[in-house]
Amino acid sequence: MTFLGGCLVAACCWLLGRALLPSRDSLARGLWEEQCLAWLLGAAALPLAAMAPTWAGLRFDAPLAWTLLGLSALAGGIRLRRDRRSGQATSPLPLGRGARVFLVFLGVGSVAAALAFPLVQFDALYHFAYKGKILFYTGNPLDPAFTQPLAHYGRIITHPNYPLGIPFLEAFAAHAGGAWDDRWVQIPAAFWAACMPALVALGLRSVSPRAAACGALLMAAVPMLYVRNFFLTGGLGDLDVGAMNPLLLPGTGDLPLACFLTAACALLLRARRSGSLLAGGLAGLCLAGGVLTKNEGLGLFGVFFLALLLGAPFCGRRAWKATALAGLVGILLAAPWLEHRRALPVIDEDYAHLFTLQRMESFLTRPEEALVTTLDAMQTAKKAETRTMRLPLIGENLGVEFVNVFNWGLLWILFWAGLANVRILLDPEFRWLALLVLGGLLLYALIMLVTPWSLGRLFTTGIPERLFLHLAGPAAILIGMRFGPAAPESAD
Amino acid sequence: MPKTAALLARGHLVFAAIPAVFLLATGFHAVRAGFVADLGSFTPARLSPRLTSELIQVVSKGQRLRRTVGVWGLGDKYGDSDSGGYLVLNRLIQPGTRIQIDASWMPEALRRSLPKGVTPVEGPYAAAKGADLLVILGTREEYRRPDLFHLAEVMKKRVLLDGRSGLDPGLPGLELFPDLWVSTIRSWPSILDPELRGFVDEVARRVPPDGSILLVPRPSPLPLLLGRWFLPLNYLLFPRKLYLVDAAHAGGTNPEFRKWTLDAADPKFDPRQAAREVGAGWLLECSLWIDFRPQDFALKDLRGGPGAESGPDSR
Repeated sequence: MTFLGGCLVAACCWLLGRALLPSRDSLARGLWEEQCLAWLLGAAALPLAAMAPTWAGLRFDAPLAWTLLGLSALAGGIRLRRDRRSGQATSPLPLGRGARVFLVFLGVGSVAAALAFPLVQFDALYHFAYKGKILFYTGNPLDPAFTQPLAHYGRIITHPNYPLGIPFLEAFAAHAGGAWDDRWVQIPAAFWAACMPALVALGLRSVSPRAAACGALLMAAVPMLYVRNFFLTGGLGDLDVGAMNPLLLPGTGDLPLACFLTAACALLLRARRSGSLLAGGLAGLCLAGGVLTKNEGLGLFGVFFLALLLGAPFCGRRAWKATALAGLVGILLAAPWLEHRRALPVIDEDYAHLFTLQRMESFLTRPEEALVTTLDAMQTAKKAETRTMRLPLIGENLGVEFVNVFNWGLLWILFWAGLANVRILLDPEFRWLALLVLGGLLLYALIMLVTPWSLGRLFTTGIPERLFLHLAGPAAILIGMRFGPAAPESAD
Repeated sequence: MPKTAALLARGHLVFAAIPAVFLLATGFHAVRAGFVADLGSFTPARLSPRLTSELIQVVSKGQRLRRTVGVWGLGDKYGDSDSGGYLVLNRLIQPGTRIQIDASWMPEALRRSLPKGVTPVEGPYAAAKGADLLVILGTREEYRRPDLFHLAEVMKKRVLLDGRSGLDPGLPGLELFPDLWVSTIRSWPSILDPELRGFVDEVARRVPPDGSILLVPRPSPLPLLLGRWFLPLNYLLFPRKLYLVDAAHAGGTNPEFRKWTLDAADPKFDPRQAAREVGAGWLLECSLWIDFRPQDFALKDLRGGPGAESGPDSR
């Protein structure tokens, strides 16, 4: 039953996304891109749809969950029927047989790997699934389980102010299945890696179908979508899922955020070229989905529009209308969460207060030893590191990650190669994507500069590679824009 | 440039072999394990030379000059000649540092292979003699159950870094840092611990889903980096409410937890009064340790009535 509940929620996500999609005529796409985008839009919209009424005071109980699922299914059903009648065709990508098999294998394999084992990893359990459990059992995003960790005798919770997108999806699955199940609540959130290449392809369609096909293959081949530092940390020897630190697929927020940002880029790229306001609005939905997935989503939301302002300020009324709509929709949809978040306690990461010029100046000019606030002399931070200035340490770790082929293949090398051309920088869309990726990297570098954590400790927890992952989609689209047109006719 | 880029792009596709291998192997492993996490198949703990040497630096308070380090053993489950042990030795070698290793069990070939700067001596106490720091990297019986009083006598500064986590923490005159090492090598996620699971089943049987439990940590002999067993307990026992003193720091960063392990236990603390404050009907007294040991946890029913606080109210 819990398995069926998970499947039902995944299907409702897809149906809701289908209902939201523009027509095939106004946003040309292949069948594969359509299904992936539909599910992703639903996975953004359903938690947002649950967040708004619960913020307004309704309980996220079974009736509300079933109502939202029912409405999603209804809207999707109507849309499917209408599409069947309209007879609008999809446009397949020029992918050879081998490439299709390759994409299907990686896509299906990633879903199977995500569901092969129950949730066991620290972040997936305590940062995300625990919040899903609270939502499922209490229906209240302001339950004392969220709000009382700071009391003298408090409730135990890690990162109480982490966004509720993934927890809501898991709680939906638990409601639909009638019980919480550590394996099957993952079903609605098991498709991120499978969808990412399709989202890149969708964005690159406006460049050329060849570029789209190449971008999809490029993205699918990035190891970090599936596993982190696989052959560096033991490879097959570490294949004990759960103990295996590098497993990224289930239950955490980095891959979903990467997908939402990629989809937002792809949709806005298409919207600005075609003038489709709906596509622009959906880009805003994806950005709001990112905000509801990880705290970094809010920062990337800002960088996304700042990059547009700086990179592509003169692009015609049509494009700006779509952009403005994306911003407006994004802000409106994210507002309930942002407002709700203010009521949640902050335990150890309050970057809004850490981003001060004084703190940044301190970390730029003084060694870490005197400045890390959450450490004491007994902790494991390396003595060597605590005497080190943070900036070189950050630069070193970011630099090494760019050439870590075990995580990225040649993605980042291609990205930098793509930037090494003055003429292409005249293209406003290219400039936008370049500034988005570079701005995102700069943002993360600044976060590392002021973080209350010991940097040495932080670099053992998947930082910076997990942050790089958020920006991998836009980087792949940029590479496709730069080199895709020169690719062979059939990407196989 | 486009040609080079096309070449690079094709080269990039080669790296798809990594996820392909990973996904195939994960599938194979999942089928073999019956789609559940199989503790028996978890990779045995291994040395992490980099972290170990960092920890050694922390423990030895950064003193590099004129330091004597004793070493027992050279590796882990893979055999005493494990290369990780050599890496630790190489990192310990510093100008002015004397490293003396117990070579009593070593065959001649192994003795000859010791890095330059490492002095082989006969017997564990000879290795510990005059040492500021003793690093235990081996699993031999004499390392696991040493004569601690003798050890305290022969060592100079009496600081132990236990790579095997086998020693009793309550040592006279010895400063033991077991968790520093273990933090790098735990082999399976805490939530899979079979003893924890058994304990959770028992608590869930006794405490109703709407019950509230106050966790009472006993004083910890040492600061811990690992041992946040209240996190899986809290997760698995939900919707039962678990309360903990200064929960924000207990659930915060590792250093905050470490500090919490030293500060949380208050000798003047009245658990019953605290339980009344939060409305908890149950007390769960616990000694947190790196490993989950059911005997470290004692559940008490404060609601009165038959059976409350009767017998050994704990597992």
